[in-house]
Amino acid sequence: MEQANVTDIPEAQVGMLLAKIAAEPDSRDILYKTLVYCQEKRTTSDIETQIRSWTVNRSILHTPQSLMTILTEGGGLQPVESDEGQTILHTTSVGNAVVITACPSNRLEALFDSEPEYVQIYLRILQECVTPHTLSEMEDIMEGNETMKKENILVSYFISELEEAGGIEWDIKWKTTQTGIDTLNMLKPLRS
Amino acid sequence: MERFKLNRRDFLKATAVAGTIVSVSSLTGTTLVPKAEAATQPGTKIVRTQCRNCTADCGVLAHVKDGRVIKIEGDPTFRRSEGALCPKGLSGVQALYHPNRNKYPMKRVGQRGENKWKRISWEQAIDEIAHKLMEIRAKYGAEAVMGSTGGGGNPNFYTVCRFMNSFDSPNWFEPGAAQCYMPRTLMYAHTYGLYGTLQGQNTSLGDSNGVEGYFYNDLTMKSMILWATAPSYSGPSQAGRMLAEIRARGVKTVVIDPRFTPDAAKADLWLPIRPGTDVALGLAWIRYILEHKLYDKDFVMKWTNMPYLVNTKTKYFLRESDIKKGGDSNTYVVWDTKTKSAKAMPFPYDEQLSPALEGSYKVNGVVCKPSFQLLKDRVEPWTLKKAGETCWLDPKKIEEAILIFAKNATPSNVCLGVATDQNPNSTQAAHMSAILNILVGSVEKPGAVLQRYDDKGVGGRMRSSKLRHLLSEKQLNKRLGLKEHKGMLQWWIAQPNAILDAMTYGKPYKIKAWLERSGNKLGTAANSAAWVEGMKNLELIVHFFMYPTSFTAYADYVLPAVEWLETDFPTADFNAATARVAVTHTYETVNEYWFFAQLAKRCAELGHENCKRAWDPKACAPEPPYFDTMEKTLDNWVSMLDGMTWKEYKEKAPFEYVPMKEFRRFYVYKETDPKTGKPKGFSTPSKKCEVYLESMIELGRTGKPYSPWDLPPVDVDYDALPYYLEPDESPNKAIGKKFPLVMSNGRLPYWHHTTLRNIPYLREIKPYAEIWINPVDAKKYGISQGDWVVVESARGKTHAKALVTEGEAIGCVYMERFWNPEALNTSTHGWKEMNVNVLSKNTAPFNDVVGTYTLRGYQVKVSKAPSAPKNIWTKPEQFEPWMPQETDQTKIVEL
Repeated sequence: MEQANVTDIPEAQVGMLLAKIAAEPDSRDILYKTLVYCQEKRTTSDIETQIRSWTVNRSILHTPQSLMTILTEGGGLQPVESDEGQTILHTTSVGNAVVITACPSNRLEALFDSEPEYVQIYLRILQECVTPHTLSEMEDIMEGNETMKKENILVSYFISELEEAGGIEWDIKWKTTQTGIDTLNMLKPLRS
Repeated sequence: MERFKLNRRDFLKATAVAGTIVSVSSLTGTTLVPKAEAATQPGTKIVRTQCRNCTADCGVLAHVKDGRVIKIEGDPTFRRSEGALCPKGLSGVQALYHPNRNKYPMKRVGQRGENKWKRISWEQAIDEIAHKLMEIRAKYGAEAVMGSTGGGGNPNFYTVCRFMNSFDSPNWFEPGAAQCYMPRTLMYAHTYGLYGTLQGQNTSLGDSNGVEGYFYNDLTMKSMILWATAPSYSGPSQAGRMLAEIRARGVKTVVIDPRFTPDAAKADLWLPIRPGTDVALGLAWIRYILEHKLYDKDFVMKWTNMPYLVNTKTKYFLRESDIKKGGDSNTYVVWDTKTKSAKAMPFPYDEQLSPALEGSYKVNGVVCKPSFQLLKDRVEPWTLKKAGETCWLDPKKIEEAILIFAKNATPSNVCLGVATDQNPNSTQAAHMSAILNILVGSVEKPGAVLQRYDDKGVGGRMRSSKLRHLLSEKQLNKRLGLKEHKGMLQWWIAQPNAILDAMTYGKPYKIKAWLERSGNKLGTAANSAAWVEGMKNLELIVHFFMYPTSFTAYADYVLPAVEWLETDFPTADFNAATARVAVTHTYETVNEYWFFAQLAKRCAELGHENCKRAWDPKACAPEPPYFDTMEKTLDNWVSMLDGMTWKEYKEKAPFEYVPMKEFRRFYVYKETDPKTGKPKGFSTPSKKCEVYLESMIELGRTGKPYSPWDLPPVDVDYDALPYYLEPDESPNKAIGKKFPLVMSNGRLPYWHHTTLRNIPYLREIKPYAEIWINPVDAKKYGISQGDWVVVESARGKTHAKALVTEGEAIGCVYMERFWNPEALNTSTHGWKEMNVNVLSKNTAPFNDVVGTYTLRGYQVKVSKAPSAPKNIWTKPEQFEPWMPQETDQTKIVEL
């Protein structure tokens, strides 16, 4: 897999692809995962199968084909060759730059940097969701949290932020991702 | 295929006459409009139905040939309009057969804003939307799903509310509500009472009130104050026409409006008030009336709570139980001037007592005052001079207007319109206007606008009910904006800006889905650009409407709604039950009730317990459950009239559901209640008209009487009396230096809210948004007649064409809402070119009780634009692509 040097890629192109991904709120994580998946050359039918596996318990607006089109038009994927009549897509250098820039660990770090006052809440949720939980269960777990009560913020806000940062994901229940677990382990000394 | 063509000259002639009716009076009681002598084609059926391009529901005769509507005219038998029909109604054919109508359910392909769609079936649309809603509910909570509707043109207003309650989401809104009508329905409910009637409940002429004026050959009223209302523009066929008739019969009118409307042109007095300052003026009116004792003393003493003593420490009325052990907690207390002591006043009145209206008294060591005195204290600073300075009016003219109302031309009424609902002084303005009517005793007597007609709620009950009891306590407490603005509970609705904040910033929780059932939220909600930003965070946006608007550009699903000519609906015309009858049906358009019912059904099938209950008659009782078809729904709604079916109802309509002499009854408050043997009084806590509103304090502290549960209290009690807040953006503040002109809006007779900007003939008459500017200001800012102007506020900038006129107060400008359907496929999606709500203010301070933000009464500046905005149409021939395209009648879609 080629490693892109992010600084060599024009910022505007990376920005444009990131904007295209951000413009699809219900599919951002799928679009990102597709870029990662296509860092190896993949046939479109393999990509479709993979996307369907990620979304088996999800409702998203776009078909796998539409998602591939969004990434291609955004400069993140490119057709490289045909293989027995099948198109093969590969992540471009711009796509790779987005994979690096927007990787979950970066996103989680950015989240914690932007909301240091809530880091303990985030870490608690990451910890609890190592065992998958429903929203209702997480509401019960976090009910006594003083910060949430004082500021009148519901647990769904923090769950959604962690989801967008790639720390947890939805698969019938909320489950901590590997990046989330790695983050937990890395920040173990900070946890109260 | 030959294009369907209307006769343009007939249309324009009819429009000119409809516009004329409001400025020429009739002395004979016959209608002024000559009967339309349209040729009737052979084989044409004439169907009696009703328009729904605004709240008026005017009677219409639709000419239908081969299943196609070929002509529309007013129905002379419909009494509220007597055959008049305004341009909005006349545009029905062009709306019905508009080539750009939403025809089929569509799903977005490509990115938001690219306007790429794929046709799908209703089954697929409902299934996918339901699945997504259920997923969002599971992941983030039902509260993350939000709904919206629009008022005015939508008769079945609570459809979205009903679905949201079924879904157990507390969040739905409309750009009206706190910005349109809710301040008045709320404050009149608290001052005059709530009776389950639709006509006479408050003084809004645009909402079926002012009925006494329609009996213009039997007039008692001598004057009418048109405050913040322009019926000649907003309802030319009904209230506007009614005003022409009563003026012709000698009724004096005073118009309080920054704009010189046709009503102002015909008024005895025009007060061109600075927008946002109406409460200041009203407080001065009250002060004058109290000072000069122009109030109805007998009514004030016996039928209001003004003699009752208020504990100035607790702000609550004294009760008999406060002054006497074992005393009644429902009996109020007065200061008896004969015995110089506090005495219980039994309902309705004890002639042995001589209550003080003024003064300050110590009762059990606590200072107490009659609420009359508290009102007097409140209005004391508001002299005519001060009101003149604040409102930019001549104090002498203010006095002249007060004297018309309270002395020289009585009985009179203050009829308050929507303008004052549109800034944070909203509930105070409604409260002030109610006080004025109560002070002069203009309540339930012949000629009064406030009436308890026996309309059995016919106009208001035969439609979707809220099913509010399906919303759980836990979820109600999550309603956005509720804790601060408990007045919203009357409509069971959330606050738009709190929703916008949640969409944008995610707190207290994120909104993930928006189900929108109305026209163009980007043309009606304050600060359009802020909404576009917020929408970027939503995973699902559904737009259900008759045609695409700017909002559609940001949607994921577009669903086709029926036009009014395709709709069945029960309505009322005074004491008669009337019917809007579908005269045709096109494409796969559906009624919103059916769509939301099917969506609730699918969610129920996917496991939503509450949505299941919404189909269960026992769980929904006493309200009806959802039904599978419109036919069953309509049958249920009209069954309140002797168990009729819809088929029977529409065949019989119009018919009297109560004789006129029983409908048009007066002094109901004096009638004896058989249960108590005492007068019925009013439906308020004291059974009197309430000027001092202890009920407002209670509302803020508990949510009662609207919430079934006690809610956390507001931080600062609501005020029991009206008060004036200088607009946050004011010419008297620093912002006035950069933005020196005060902006206001107001209706025009061609559209209702953001509707009908896509109708070719209406756009030909009014192709662009105008900004009215006084010649003094025009000269100052280098603007000439007809110039394109850049209008700018702290939120953004837009364009309009200048109408330089003395019909706009100096220092103020006027611009009505607008958007450009011809620019839908451009990067602006038509909402930036001439949209006054790019400029309006969505931020605090809000009205404390209902959360009103600022649509009128904020600061702007103007400058000459180098050119017209791009991509707009202004020439008649440019609207040719929108001319009607005939289509075959289709069957009604029901799964």
